[in-house]
Amino acid sequence: MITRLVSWWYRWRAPRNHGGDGGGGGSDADRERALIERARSGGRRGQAAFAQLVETHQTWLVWFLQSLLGNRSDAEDVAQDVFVRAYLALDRFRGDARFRTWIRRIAINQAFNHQRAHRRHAAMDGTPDLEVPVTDTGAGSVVALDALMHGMEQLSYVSREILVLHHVEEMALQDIAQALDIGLSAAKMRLQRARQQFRVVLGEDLAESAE
Amino acid sequence: MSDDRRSANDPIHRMFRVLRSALRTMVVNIAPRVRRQVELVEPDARHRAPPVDDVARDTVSEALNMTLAPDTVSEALNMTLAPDTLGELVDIVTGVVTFRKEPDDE
Repeated sequence: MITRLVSWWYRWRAPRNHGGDGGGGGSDADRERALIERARSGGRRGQAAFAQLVETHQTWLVWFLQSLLGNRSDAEDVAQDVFVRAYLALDRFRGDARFRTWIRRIAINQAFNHQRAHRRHAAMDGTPDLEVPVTDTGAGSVVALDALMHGMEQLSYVSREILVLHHVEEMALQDIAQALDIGLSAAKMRLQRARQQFRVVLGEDLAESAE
Repeated sequence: MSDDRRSANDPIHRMFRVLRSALRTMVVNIAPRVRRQVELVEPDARHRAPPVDDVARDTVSEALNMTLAPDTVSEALNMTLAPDTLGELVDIVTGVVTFRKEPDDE
Protein backbone atom coordinates (compact mmCIF):
# COMPACT_ATOMS: atom_id res chain seq x y z
CA MET A 1 0.00 0.00 0.00
CA ILE A 2 2.76 2.41 1.00
CA THR A 3 4.73 1.52 -2.13
CA ARG A 4 1.67 2.24 -4.27
CA LEU A 5 1.16 5.57 -2.55
CA VAL A 6 4.79 6.55 -3.00
CA SER A 7 4.76 5.56 -6.67
CA TRP A 8 1.48 7.44 -7.20
CA TRP A 9 2.85 10.54 -5.51
CA TYR A 10 6.06 10.34 -7.50
CA ARG A 11 4.15 10.06 -10.76
CA TRP A 12 2.03 13.08 -9.89
CA ARG A 13 4.95 15.25 -8.85
CA ALA A 14 7.58 13.95 -11.28
CA PRO A 15 7.02 16.35 -14.20
CA ARG A 16 7.53 19.37 -11.93
CA ASN A 17 10.44 17.92 -10.04
CA HIS A 18 12.29 17.22 -13.25
CA GLY A 19 12.36 20.71 -14.62
CA GLY A 20 8.62 21.28 -14.98
CA ASP A 21 7.46 21.66 -18.53
CA GLY A 22 10.75 22.69 -19.95
CA GLY A 23 12.05 19.39 -21.19
CA GLY A 24 13.87 18.15 -18.11
CA GLY A 25 16.10 15.15 -17.85
CA GLY A 26 16.21 11.98 -15.85
CA SER A 27 15.01 8.48 -16.41
CA ASP A 28 11.29 9.27 -16.54
CA ALA A 29 11.84 11.72 -19.36
CA ASP A 30 14.08 9.25 -21.20
CA ARG A 31 11.55 6.46 -20.76
CA GLU A 32 8.81 8.72 -22.03
CA ARG A 33 10.85 9.75 -25.06
CA ALA A 34 11.47 6.08 -25.87
CA LEU A 35 7.76 5.30 -25.55
CA ILE A 36 6.88 8.17 -27.88
CA GLU A 37 9.39 6.95 -30.44
CA ARG A 38 7.95 3.45 -30.26
CA ALA A 39 4.37 4.74 -30.43
CA ARG A 40 5.25 6.68 -33.57
CA SER A 41 6.17 3.46 -35.33
CA GLY A 42 2.48 2.51 -35.29
CA GLY A 43 1.06 -1.00 -35.49
CA ARG A 44 0.50 -3.16 -32.43
CA ARG A 45 3.89 -2.28 -30.96
CA GLY A 46 3.17 1.43 -31.32
CA GLN A 47 -0.27 1.05 -29.82
CA ALA A 48 1.15 -0.83 -26.85
CA ALA A 49 3.69 1.93 -26.25
CA PHE A 50 1.00 4.57 -26.54
CA ALA A 51 -1.16 2.63 -24.05
CA GLN A 52 1.65 3.04 -21.51
CA LEU A 53 1.68 6.78 -22.12
CA VAL A 54 -2.08 6.84 -21.57
CA GLU A 55 -1.69 4.88 -18.32
CA THR A 56 0.84 7.43 -17.09
CA HIS A 57 -1.11 10.54 -18.00
CA GLN A 58 -4.78 9.59 -17.76
CA THR A 59 -5.29 10.46 -14.11
CA TRP A 60 -4.03 14.03 -14.06
CA LEU A 61 -5.63 14.69 -17.45
CA VAL A 62 -9.09 13.65 -16.23
CA TRP A 63 -8.58 15.66 -13.00
CA PHE A 64 -7.62 18.66 -15.06
CA LEU A 65 -10.57 18.34 -17.45
CA GLN A 66 -13.01 17.68 -14.66
CA SER A 67 -12.00 20.86 -12.88
CA LEU A 68 -12.46 22.74 -16.18
CA LEU A 69 -15.71 21.13 -17.30
CA GLY A 70 -17.28 20.39 -13.92
CA ASN A 71 -18.34 16.81 -14.43
CA ARG A 72 -16.64 13.48 -14.65
CA SER A 73 -18.43 12.09 -17.66
CA ASP A 74 -17.54 15.01 -19.96
CA ALA A 75 -13.99 15.00 -18.60
CA GLU A 76 -13.53 11.34 -19.54
CA ASP A 77 -15.04 11.81 -23.00
CA VAL A 78 -12.81 14.79 -23.75
CA ALA A 79 -9.76 13.03 -22.29
CA GLN A 80 -10.37 10.07 -24.59
CA ASP A 81 -10.62 12.43 -27.54
CA VAL A 82 -7.42 14.21 -26.49
CA PHE A 83 -5.49 10.94 -26.38
CA VAL A 84 -6.77 9.78 -29.77
CA ARG A 85 -5.90 13.14 -31.34
CA ALA A 86 -2.48 12.98 -29.74
CA TYR A 87 -1.95 9.48 -31.14
CA LEU A 88 -2.88 10.59 -34.64
CA ALA A 89 -0.68 13.66 -34.40
CA LEU A 90 2.34 12.01 -32.76
CA ASP A 91 4.50 12.64 -35.80
CA ARG A 92 4.08 16.34 -35.20
CA PHE A 93 5.21 16.18 -31.57
CA ARG A 94 8.63 17.76 -31.78
CA GLY A 95 9.79 16.77 -28.33
CA ASP A 96 11.02 20.22 -27.31
CA ALA A 97 8.46 20.23 -24.49
CA ARG A 98 7.28 17.44 -22.24
CA PHE A 99 4.53 15.14 -23.51
CA ARG A 100 2.40 16.39 -20.61
CA THR A 101 2.73 19.98 -21.84
CA TRP A 102 1.78 18.95 -25.35
CA ILE A 103 -1.34 16.98 -24.43
CA ARG A 104 -2.35 19.64 -21.92
CA ARG A 105 -2.37 22.10 -24.79
CA ILE A 106 -4.55 19.78 -26.88
CA ALA A 107 -6.77 19.34 -23.80
CA ILE A 108 -7.12 23.10 -23.30
CA ASN A 109 -8.32 23.45 -26.90
CA GLN A 110 -10.63 20.47 -26.77
CA ALA A 111 -12.16 21.54 -23.47
CA PHE A 112 -12.73 25.02 -24.88
CA ASN A 113 -14.41 23.58 -27.99
CA HIS A 114 -16.45 21.17 -25.88
CA GLN A 115 -17.86 23.82 -23.58
CA ARG A 116 -18.59 26.07 -26.57
CA ALA A 117 -20.50 23.27 -28.29
CA HIS A 118 -22.42 22.29 -25.18
CA ARG A 119 -23.04 25.52 -23.35
CA ARG A 120 -26.41 26.03 -25.00
CA HIS A 121 -27.57 22.67 -23.81
CA ALA A 122 -26.07 22.35 -20.38
CA ALA A 123 -24.23 24.54 -17.97
CA MET A 124 -21.82 22.97 -15.52
CA ASP A 125 -24.08 20.71 -13.56
CA GLY A 126 -22.38 21.61 -10.30
CA THR A 127 -22.10 17.99 -9.28
CA PRO A 128 -18.51 17.61 -8.25
CA ASP A 129 -18.40 13.78 -8.35
CA LEU A 130 -15.60 14.16 -5.89
CA GLU A 131 -15.00 12.94 -2.42
CA VAL A 132 -13.24 14.96 0.19
CA PRO A 133 -10.26 12.83 1.17
CA VAL A 134 -10.33 10.98 4.47
CA THR A 135 -7.29 12.89 5.69
CA ASP A 136 -9.03 16.20 5.11
CA THR A 137 -12.51 15.63 6.46
CA GLY A 138 -13.57 18.63 8.48
CA ALA A 139 -16.83 20.26 7.82
CA GLY A 140 -14.77 23.23 6.62
CA SER A 141 -13.31 21.26 3.73
CA VAL A 142 -16.70 20.02 2.59
CA VAL A 143 -18.12 23.52 2.75
CA ALA A 144 -15.11 24.94 0.91
CA LEU A 145 -15.36 22.36 -1.87
CA ASP A 146 -19.06 22.88 -2.23
CA ALA A 147 -18.69 26.67 -2.31
CA LEU A 148 -15.83 26.44 -4.76
CA MET A 149 -17.74 24.22 -7.20
CA HIS A 150 -20.77 26.47 -6.89
CA GLY A 151 -18.62 29.55 -7.48
CA MET A 152 -16.81 28.00 -10.47
CA GLU A 153 -20.17 27.18 -11.99
CA GLN A 154 -21.00 30.86 -12.14
CA LEU A 155 -17.77 32.07 -13.68
CA SER A 156 -17.22 32.55 -17.39
CA TYR A 157 -15.32 29.69 -18.99
CA VAL A 158 -12.17 31.76 -19.58
CA SER A 159 -12.07 32.80 -15.94
CA ARG A 160 -12.55 29.22 -14.82
CA GLU A 161 -9.87 28.10 -17.23
CA ILE A 162 -7.18 30.44 -15.94
CA LEU A 163 -8.03 29.71 -12.30
CA VAL A 164 -7.73 25.98 -12.95
CA LEU A 165 -4.43 26.36 -14.79
CA HIS A 166 -3.01 28.49 -12.00
CA HIS A 167 -4.50 26.88 -8.90
CA VAL A 168 -5.12 23.26 -9.91
CA GLU A 169 -2.38 22.65 -12.46
CA GLU A 170 -0.16 25.04 -10.48
CA MET A 171 1.32 26.44 -13.66
CA ALA A 172 3.47 29.58 -13.66
CA LEU A 173 1.96 32.60 -15.41
CA GLN A 174 4.59 32.43 -18.13
CA ASP A 175 3.57 28.84 -18.94
CA ILE A 176 -0.11 29.75 -18.84
CA ALA A 177 0.49 32.60 -21.26
CA GLN A 178 2.23 30.20 -23.62
CA ALA A 179 -0.47 27.54 -23.33
CA LEU A 180 -3.23 30.04 -24.02
CA ASP A 181 -1.33 31.88 -26.75
CA ILE A 182 -1.59 35.19 -24.98
CA GLY A 183 0.99 37.63 -23.64
CA LEU A 184 2.27 37.51 -20.09
CA SER A 185 0.57 40.77 -19.14
CA ALA A 186 -2.72 39.56 -20.64
CA ALA A 187 -2.42 36.37 -18.58
CA LYS A 188 -1.76 38.40 -15.42
CA MET A 189 -4.73 40.62 -16.13
CA ARG A 190 -6.99 37.67 -16.94
CA LEU A 191 -6.01 35.92 -13.71
CA GLN A 192 -6.54 39.07 -11.68
CA ARG A 193 -9.97 39.60 -13.26
CA ALA A 194 -10.92 35.95 -12.69
CA ARG A 195 -9.94 36.17 -9.02
CA GLN A 196 -11.97 39.34 -8.61
CA GLN A 197 -14.99 37.68 -10.23
CA PHE A 198 -14.50 34.65 -8.05
CA ARG A 199 -14.40 36.77 -4.88
CA VAL A 200 -17.59 38.55 -5.88
CA VAL A 201 -19.34 35.28 -6.70
CA LEU A 202 -18.25 33.58 -3.50
CA GLY A 203 -18.84 36.53 -1.21
CA GLU A 204 -19.55 35.20 2.24
CA ASP A 205 -18.56 31.65 1.38
CA LEU A 206 -15.02 32.86 0.77
CA ALA A 207 -14.91 34.66 4.11
CA GLU A 208 -16.17 31.51 5.87
CA SER A 209 -13.65 29.26 4.20
CA ALA A 210 -10.86 31.63 5.16
CA GLU A 211 -11.68 31.31 8.85
CA MET B 1 5.97 38.49 2.53
CA SER B 2 7.18 35.54 0.46
CA ASP B 3 5.02 34.08 -2.33
CA ASP B 4 4.57 30.88 -0.31
CA ARG B 5 3.40 32.77 2.76
CA ARG B 6 1.12 34.93 0.65
CA SER B 7 -0.34 31.79 -1.01
CA ALA B 8 -0.92 30.16 2.36
CA ASN B 9 -2.91 33.17 3.51
CA ASP B 10 -4.87 33.48 0.30
CA PRO B 11 -8.41 32.07 0.83
CA ILE B 12 -8.82 31.31 -2.88
CA HIS B 13 -5.58 29.38 -2.85
CA ARG B 14 -6.76 27.47 0.23
CA MET B 15 -10.07 26.59 -1.39
CA PHE B 16 -8.30 25.24 -4.44
CA ARG B 17 -6.05 23.19 -2.19
CA VAL B 18 -9.19 21.37 -1.03
CA LEU B 19 -10.18 20.81 -4.66
CA ARG B 20 -6.72 19.46 -5.49
CA SER B 21 -6.95 17.04 -2.56
CA ALA B 22 -10.41 15.95 -3.64
CA LEU B 23 -9.30 15.43 -7.23
CA ARG B 24 -6.51 13.18 -6.03
CA THR B 25 -9.06 10.79 -4.56
CA MET B 26 -10.42 10.07 -8.03
CA VAL B 27 -9.64 6.71 -9.54
CA VAL B 28 -9.32 7.01 -13.29
CA ASN B 29 -9.17 4.24 -15.83
CA ILE B 30 -10.01 5.37 -19.32
CA ALA B 31 -7.07 3.47 -20.82
CA PRO B 32 -9.23 0.57 -22.15
CA ARG B 33 -11.56 3.06 -23.90
CA VAL B 34 -8.63 4.87 -25.44
CA ARG B 35 -7.06 1.59 -26.55
CA ARG B 36 -10.27 0.49 -28.30
CA GLN B 37 -10.57 3.88 -29.98
CA VAL B 38 -6.96 3.83 -31.13
CA GLU B 39 -7.53 0.34 -32.55
CA LEU B 40 -10.62 1.59 -34.36
CA VAL B 41 -8.87 4.44 -36.11
CA GLU B 42 -6.87 3.03 -38.97
CA PRO B 43 -3.75 1.73 -37.17
CA ASP B 44 -1.37 2.91 -39.84
CA ALA B 45 -3.35 5.97 -40.83
CA ARG B 46 -0.51 8.27 -39.90
CA HIS B 47 1.89 6.39 -42.13
CA ARG B 48 -0.40 5.97 -45.11
CA ALA B 49 -1.65 9.51 -44.95
CA PRO B 50 -1.69 11.42 -48.24
CA PRO B 51 0.87 14.18 -48.76
CA VAL B 52 0.32 17.05 -46.40
CA ASP B 53 -0.74 19.47 -49.18
CA ASP B 54 -3.62 17.17 -50.12
CA VAL B 55 -4.59 16.72 -46.51
CA ALA B 56 -4.67 20.46 -45.96
CA ARG B 57 -6.68 21.04 -49.10
CA ASP B 58 -9.17 18.28 -48.38
CA THR B 59 -9.59 19.24 -44.75
CA VAL B 60 -10.05 22.90 -45.55
CA SER B 61 -12.48 21.97 -48.36
CA GLU B 62 -14.43 19.84 -45.94
CA ALA B 63 -14.46 22.59 -43.33
CA LEU B 64 -15.67 25.10 -45.88
CA ASN B 65 -18.06 22.57 -47.38
CA MET B 66 -16.74 23.16 -50.89
CA THR B 67 -14.16 21.65 -53.16
CA LEU B 68 -10.97 23.61 -53.53
CA ALA B 69 -8.57 23.34 -56.42
CA PRO B 70 -5.11 22.11 -55.42
CA ASP B 71 -3.52 25.52 -55.21
CA THR B 72 -6.46 27.37 -53.77
CA VAL B 73 -5.34 27.18 -50.17
CA SER B 74 -2.00 28.74 -51.03
CA GLU B 75 -3.65 31.23 -53.37
CA ALA B 76 -6.21 32.21 -50.80
CA LEU B 77 -3.41 33.08 -48.46
CA ASN B 78 -1.54 34.69 -51.36
CA MET B 79 1.65 32.89 -50.59
CA THR B 80 3.37 29.60 -51.12
CA LEU B 81 3.16 27.57 -47.99
CA ALA B 82 6.06 25.52 -46.76
CA PRO B 83 5.18 21.95 -45.78
CA ASP B 84 5.56 22.85 -42.08
CA THR B 85 3.05 25.66 -42.43
CA LEU B 86 0.61 23.35 -44.14
CA GLY B 87 1.17 20.85 -41.34
CA GLU B 88 0.30 23.55 -38.83
CA LEU B 89 -2.76 24.43 -40.88
CA VAL B 90 -3.86 20.81 -40.65
CA ASP B 91 -3.30 20.94 -36.88
CA ILE B 92 -5.49 24.01 -36.68
CA VAL B 93 -8.27 22.62 -38.85
CA THR B 94 -8.26 19.21 -37.19
CA GLY B 95 -8.32 20.78 -33.77
CA VAL B 96 -4.91 19.72 -32.48
CA VAL B 97 -4.32 23.45 -32.34
CA THR B 98 -7.42 25.58 -32.40
CA PHE B 99 -7.94 29.22 -33.09
CA ARG B 100 -9.80 30.64 -30.18
CA LYS B 101 -12.05 33.59 -29.96
CA GLU B 102 -10.69 36.23 -27.68
CA PRO B 103 -12.78 36.19 -24.50
CA ASP B 104 -13.62 39.86 -24.87
CA ASP B 105 -15.27 39.16 -28.22
CA GLU B 106 -17.78 36.80 -26.66
